[in-house]
Amino acid sequence: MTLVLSGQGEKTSPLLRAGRKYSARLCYPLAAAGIVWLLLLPLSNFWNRAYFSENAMMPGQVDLAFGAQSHLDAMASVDAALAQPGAEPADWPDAMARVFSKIGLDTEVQRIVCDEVPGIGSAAGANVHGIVRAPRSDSVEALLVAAAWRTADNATNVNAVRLMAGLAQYASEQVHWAKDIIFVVTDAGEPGIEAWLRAYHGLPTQAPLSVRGGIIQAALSLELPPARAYARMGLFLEGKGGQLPNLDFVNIVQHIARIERLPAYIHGMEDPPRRASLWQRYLVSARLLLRQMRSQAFGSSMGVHAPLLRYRIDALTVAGIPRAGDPVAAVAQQGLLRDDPADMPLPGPATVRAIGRTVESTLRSLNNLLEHFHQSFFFYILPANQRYLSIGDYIPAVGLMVASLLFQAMHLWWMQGPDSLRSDNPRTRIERINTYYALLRRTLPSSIGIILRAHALGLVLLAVPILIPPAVLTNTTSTAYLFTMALASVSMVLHIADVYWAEAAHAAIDWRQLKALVEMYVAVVIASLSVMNVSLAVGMFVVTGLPLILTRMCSTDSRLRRAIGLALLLAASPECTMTLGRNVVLGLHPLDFASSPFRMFLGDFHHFSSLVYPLVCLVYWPVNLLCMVIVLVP
Amino acid sequence: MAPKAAAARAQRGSGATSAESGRLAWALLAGSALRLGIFLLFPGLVAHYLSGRVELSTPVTSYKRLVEGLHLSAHGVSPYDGGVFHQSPLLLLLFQPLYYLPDVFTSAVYVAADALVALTLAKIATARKAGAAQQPPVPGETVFACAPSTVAMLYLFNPLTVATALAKSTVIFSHLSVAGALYFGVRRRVDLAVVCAAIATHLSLYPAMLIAPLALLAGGAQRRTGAIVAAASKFVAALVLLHVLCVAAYGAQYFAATVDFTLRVADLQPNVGLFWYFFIEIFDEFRSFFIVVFQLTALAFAIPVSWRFRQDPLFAGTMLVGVISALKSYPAWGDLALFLGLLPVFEDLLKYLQYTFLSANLLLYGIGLAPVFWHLWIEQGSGNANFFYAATLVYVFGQITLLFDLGTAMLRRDLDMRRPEARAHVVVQE
Repeated sequence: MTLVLSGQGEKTSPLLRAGRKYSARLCYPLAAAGIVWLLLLPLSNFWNRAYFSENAMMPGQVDLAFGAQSHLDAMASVDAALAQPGAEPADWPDAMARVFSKIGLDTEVQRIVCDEVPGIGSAAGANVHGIVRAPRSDSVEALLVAAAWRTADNATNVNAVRLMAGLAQYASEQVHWAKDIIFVVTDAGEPGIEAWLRAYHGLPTQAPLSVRGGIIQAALSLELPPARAYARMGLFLEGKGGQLPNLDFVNIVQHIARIERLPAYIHGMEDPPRRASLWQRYLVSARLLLRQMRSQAFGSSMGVHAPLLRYRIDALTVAGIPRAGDPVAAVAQQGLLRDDPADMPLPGPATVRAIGRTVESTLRSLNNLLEHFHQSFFFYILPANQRYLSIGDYIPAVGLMVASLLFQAMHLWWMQGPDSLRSDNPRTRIERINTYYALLRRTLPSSIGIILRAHALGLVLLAVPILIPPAVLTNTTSTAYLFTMALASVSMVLHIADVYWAEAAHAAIDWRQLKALVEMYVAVVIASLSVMNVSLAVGMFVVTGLPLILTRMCSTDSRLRRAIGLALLLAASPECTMTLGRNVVLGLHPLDFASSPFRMFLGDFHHFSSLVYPLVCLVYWPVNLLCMVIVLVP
Repeated sequence: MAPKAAAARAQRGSGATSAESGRLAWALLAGSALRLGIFLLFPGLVAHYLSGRVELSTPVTSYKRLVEGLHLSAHGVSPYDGGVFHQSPLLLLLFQPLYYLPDVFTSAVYVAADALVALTLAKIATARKAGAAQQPPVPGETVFACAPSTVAMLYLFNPLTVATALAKSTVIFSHLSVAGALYFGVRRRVDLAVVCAAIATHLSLYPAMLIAPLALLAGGAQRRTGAIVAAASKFVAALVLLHVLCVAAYGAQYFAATVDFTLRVADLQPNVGLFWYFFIEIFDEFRSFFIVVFQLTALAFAIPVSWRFRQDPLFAGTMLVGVISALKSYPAWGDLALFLGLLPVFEDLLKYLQYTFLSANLLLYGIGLAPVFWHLWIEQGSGNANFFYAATLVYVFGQITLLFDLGTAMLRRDLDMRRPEARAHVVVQE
């Protein structure tokens, strides 16, 4: 080890000497290489062709039965039940429970009353579920089909509910099941499914469930907006914490959908035409990757599958995408349709049949699961349909980013203090190590103190919205709160800088040391995140790591330069990015209540323990402040 | 790195002593208040989250298992029936009265134990400083000595220590006995030091390695062999006495459930050590052989370390605490906390450390990645055992880097003091 490393005092090894010489300049190319690596991922040369890892699944190899008259009758019975004379829209749970019971399912209505942060996602509503008991086993495993009452685009999802009734009818006729099949309808969206899952798994809840089945192995969620016919289907995979379903599951659904002639594309994005130029292909793939990364990082994917993944259930959403110019979809988009199911004609019989058969075949395939999905990848990104990039293909990019932070930290750690410390002369060794240690003893407490102060502020930012009564937190107050915190933090930065300028003669702080410490810490955070949620790790690097590396890149002798540095850091601050980047963050999440990303993150943290909100408060915000301190101190 | 954060400047003069003891009292109070506050304000965090973490509590230190043992023995069943409880009967004796009292008393005992460890470390630092003042410093060096209050503060406010106390890991009581043994050793109270070492050994077995340094520490520089033999025989006598006491109280079963359990690594629940993964994989016929190999790897360090650093037995003891933390069969983050707490006592050595950047980073990654990989493996199901073991390897590698660095620092400083003419020479180990 002495060959590679040797610190203050002893003879330096040649390797380390070379490393020290170049590490100052090496960190920028490393960061650039990490970014370039990511930019190369949309090139098809790096992709792998998707394949089935789990041979037992045998997708698309069974005779399909969906589409019989009894199934269509069951679908029609939903309309009949909902349109009963005197029925209010709020009575839908009982109507749905009647439909399920009539088909022969074990049914239960769960009424959830959540006094959670209103506006962020009130979850007062109901869940109805029915279970088809497996005739061939003892109810230790289950599959789940879920639908929300409204789609993520806030259109009615009554088509999916109808289809579920048909599928339930089909499933109760079928004798091959080795797993229970659970059908769930919720009218509270993702929080509703979350409440249902809590109750199903016996966690403490206000509305416990009594009708339960086995461990849920896999789940499909359906989103079928009003339309006459669908051009294709979209698959949405990303869970709330960035978890993904096993790649085998995605492959199975895509494979079966292709057989049924209603292809299912990742995020509904078609592959580029065969004759497209390389550049066009690149653009299409890059768009798909960007969408996935956004959904994964912020947990803003469409569909109610997202909470399921947290419970170790492989889940995805199958969403119908209407044809361009579809008359029903056009009318629905203008908001001319009432929510009355009578106004919502079913899609054409061929479409219903194709979707129903896709789900049927997928369920039959999942029925073959011998144990929990484990064969194929859990860590992947999909650059195109039927192609994948595994963790080994994209993690080096994050590795390069972390390395660039660490290299710069090493260099700065080495560069702290006067130049005489870095001599190689053995005669001055004792003097050097004593001076060096005295320097550390003097400056480390102040550096660590600054870091702790910035994080204490972040902790306040994190804790206050959790502790205050939820009713206070409206759009206006949260904006005001953010603004106040921004003022408080910037004045703290100015105060710290002021204190150290006054003591500049004592050299009580060394910005190199402070920066090195912050870089070490950010590197650990990004490295730990990268295995859990690579998109979030990349996002964190872009908003914290990159500005940190570039902070005080050139000298800050003049006031003007300091002011420019401060202005740039303000531009990269969380307040700024969350205000300007609202559309980027909320792009796939056009829910009107979440008009500020901060509140959306807070809501996700509240309901799904999503990591984004604590990361913004405890890493992004404080590191941004620390960068400002680094620019401003002597 | 933490010791260097010591802000307190060296205190001189008699007036400074009272200020120093006041500061020590404040440090202890603040540390205790922090722990008690978290215990009282966030009982859910402690009960549901921290106490179940494998990084903080192991089968031999888990509080949940202790409660189980207490419950069994309160109902007249042997606590060692059922194979859940693997802790020393001494802990049962200590906690039996607390079992009938509200939870807050148990929390208070943990807080008090942690504060006592910090106080003992501070006292060791004071004694060490007094001893070091008699030695001539290396010519040309600035003398640094960490103030005792800073030593206590660095121990009490180390996140690993706080987390260990909040998880109510019983390793704290083992730490208390180890620190007590070292303290009585420094104060030359052989008998008390040996009794503390025996209790520590009874609690977690590995502190038996410390007996030679303790004997040297308490017995002085003369008649080394005689001092070691005398201390070792007293140690064995104390252990036998403890054994008889425990057999009388809880029956002979306890021995198989504690000592044998630790030596045989019978529970392969993952932890931050090296044993579990290896023994999950190994074929049964090689098991006993590799258990001997692994345990010897840890225990055999007692001899060379005690021998090489016989001039400074307190340092040898500290090194062995580090070795135990890295190589014992059921380690937890709390073990590292004691080693890191002892480091600032040797502040004159810290400037000789050469790989601080490397070891600090390795420990940071080892500690940061372990919960993430645990989440991926156990909670989310998308990772596997290799993930967590990789984090463990990084963590242990970081500890060993730090240990070697510290040993090298000691030897180099020794050379600087004894052979002033060699100061300008380069020492390279290849």
